[in-house]
Amino acid sequence: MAKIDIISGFLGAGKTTLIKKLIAEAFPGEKLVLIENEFGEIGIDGGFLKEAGIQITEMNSGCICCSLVGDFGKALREVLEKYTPDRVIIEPSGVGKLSDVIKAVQDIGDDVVINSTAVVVDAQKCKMYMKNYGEFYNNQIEYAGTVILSRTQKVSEDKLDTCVKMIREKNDEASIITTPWDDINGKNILEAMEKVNSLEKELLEEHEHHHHDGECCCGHHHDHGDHDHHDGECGCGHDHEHEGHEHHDHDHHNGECGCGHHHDHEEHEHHHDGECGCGHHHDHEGHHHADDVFTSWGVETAHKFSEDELNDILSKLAQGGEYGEVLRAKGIVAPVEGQWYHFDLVPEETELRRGAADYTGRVCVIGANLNEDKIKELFHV
Amino acid sequence: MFGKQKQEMMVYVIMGFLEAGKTSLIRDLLVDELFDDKSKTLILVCEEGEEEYPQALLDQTHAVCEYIEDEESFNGKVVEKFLKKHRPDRIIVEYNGMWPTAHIPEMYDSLEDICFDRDVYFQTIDIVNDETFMLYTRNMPSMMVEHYRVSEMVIVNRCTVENTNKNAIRGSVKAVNPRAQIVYESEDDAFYEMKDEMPFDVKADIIDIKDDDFGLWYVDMIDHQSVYDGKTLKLTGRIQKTKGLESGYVVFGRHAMTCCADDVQFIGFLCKADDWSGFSNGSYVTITARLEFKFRREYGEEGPVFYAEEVAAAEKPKEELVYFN
Repeated sequence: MAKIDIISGFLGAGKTTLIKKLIAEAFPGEKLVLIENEFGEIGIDGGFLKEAGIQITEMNSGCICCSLVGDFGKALREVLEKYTPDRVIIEPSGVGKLSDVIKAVQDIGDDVVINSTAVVVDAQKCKMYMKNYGEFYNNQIEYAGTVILSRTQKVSEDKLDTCVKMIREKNDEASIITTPWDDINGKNILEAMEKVNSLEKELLEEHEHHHHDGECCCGHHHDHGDHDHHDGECGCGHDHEHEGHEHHDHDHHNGECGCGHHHDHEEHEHHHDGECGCGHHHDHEGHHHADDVFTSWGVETAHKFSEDELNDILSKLAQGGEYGEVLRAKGIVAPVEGQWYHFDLVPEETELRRGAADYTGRVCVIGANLNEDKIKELFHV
Repeated sequence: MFGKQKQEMMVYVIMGFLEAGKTSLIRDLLVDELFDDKSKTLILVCEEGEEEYPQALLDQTHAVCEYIEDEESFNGKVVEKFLKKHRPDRIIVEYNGMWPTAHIPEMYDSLEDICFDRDVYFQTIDIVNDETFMLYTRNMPSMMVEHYRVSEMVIVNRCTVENTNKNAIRGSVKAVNPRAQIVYESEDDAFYEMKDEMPFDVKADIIDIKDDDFGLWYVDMIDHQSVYDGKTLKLTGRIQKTKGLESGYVVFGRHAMTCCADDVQFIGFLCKADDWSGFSNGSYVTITARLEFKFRREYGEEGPVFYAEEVAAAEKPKEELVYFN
């Protein structure tokens, strides 16, 4: 079954540039077909595509006054039969509705699955176009799973904020890519489009993993990456052998958790307050009942933060108080200058470091009785 | 009152897409000599672009702005309210490039009713940004063409020696509106010195028009009658033996695409020859013929008529349709 990625956007928004970036950085080795339904400003040159082994099908007859959709379905079907691709990228007409294209693809039936729908929006022109172009322009935004802003390096932070807000009014579910394209890899963009890298999911999975792998009861949190650590340090100061670890896992409910204290199953289940006797706070039991007690809150933000501000935010979150009982927070946010900030927070410790850019700033907070409004304020959203 | 000449109500409609330069043009108009008569101007702004009207400029030029935010509100009732409020002597409409042009004649009718004591005149000017001309023409030809159709003048701005394709612009506009006047604007003086270049030699004894250049020639001929009047041309087209024509005459021409595939029309001219009997209706021929501009009742006005000296059977051109850009 072929995956279909639809990349819409008004004329001149930068669709072709984006597709080139995705082809070069995100789709190596895939059998790919590109269907263009627009005369682009920048032609995708044949040489580049040939090298990448990509078929290109132009459907340039369609314009807004001709019946585009019928022809479109036919062209797509032909492409599927002729090339049996893994993935088809569709660049529809810039002045058409995205919902029409989605419908035309859905009408194809079970041979295809819509992998992602995106719209490329020029950050410099977003406000003006949204106000004046109306229906088709807003339709592209409303139906997009991901809004990919182009030329964000050319607009002020205020303008970018306005732009994001206007888009949010039309579509509050889409991921919005706000980072300048040169600062991120095509893979980051694809991940956002495919929604495989939600922080919230990551955090929740992390907890899941913890639980299954055997919380070591040392009260420290482990990063996702730590799961590779089968042979050794888990951060609790104890050595775990691989075997032991396995064992540990199975034995968890019956006994040793590695912190030197004995727990039994019953006790464990009822330990909502988290005291295990090792003097640290645990939240994994809580997580066991996460649906009842804890909430997670995630947000995307294009706001640029300074180190001082982030430290301030993290200490406020760690203290809890008016923000609620924060058990875990993780974020990747844009910096005022330099490299991006990555932060991790558990009540006992916070970590703030510099790292790679992401498609937009993202924050996720897990805790009890979270005061979302207050937290929103902290993160300028 | 009897004998008293009715006052005029000039309505300037400025068409064009976002960023074409509509607001800038209107600002220029306001300070133009033509407008320097203390008359009050009402600007109906139907689109909010990047540019604005500074209050100082409005005050100085006796102008007021009113905003019409959606298509439904562009109607006589709404405008009548503004007219009562401001009592302007003329109106400038900054039209929204995405709205259908059909609202323009509707507005004309409404204003004739509302301003029954005045003679209402509309002048429609389309502004095109050369930087986006090609992109827009190829991807939304129908909307571009709609603007050309209703405009008396098409202003193409931000022209450059490197990018501007005058033949494509002229072709696109004239194909649907031969009477439209095209004005080019550039910041580069060298642009104005550029000669219009045709791929055929208009000074040759026989001007040879290649199949691909039919559209270009057609547009140039409409603009520059005198260049072709009395000249001999060699070109290929198909003939239609239409009933009711004077003996010896057929219609000679080609099918042309003025906008897109749904919009094909036949561009034909009267052509006289001694004998057409060897050529069937609809067949392609290459004619070597003298072109003269004559009044013909078929045209209802003066138009080009071919007098063929030679007619030969021809192959269908590789590209059967004529394109203008």
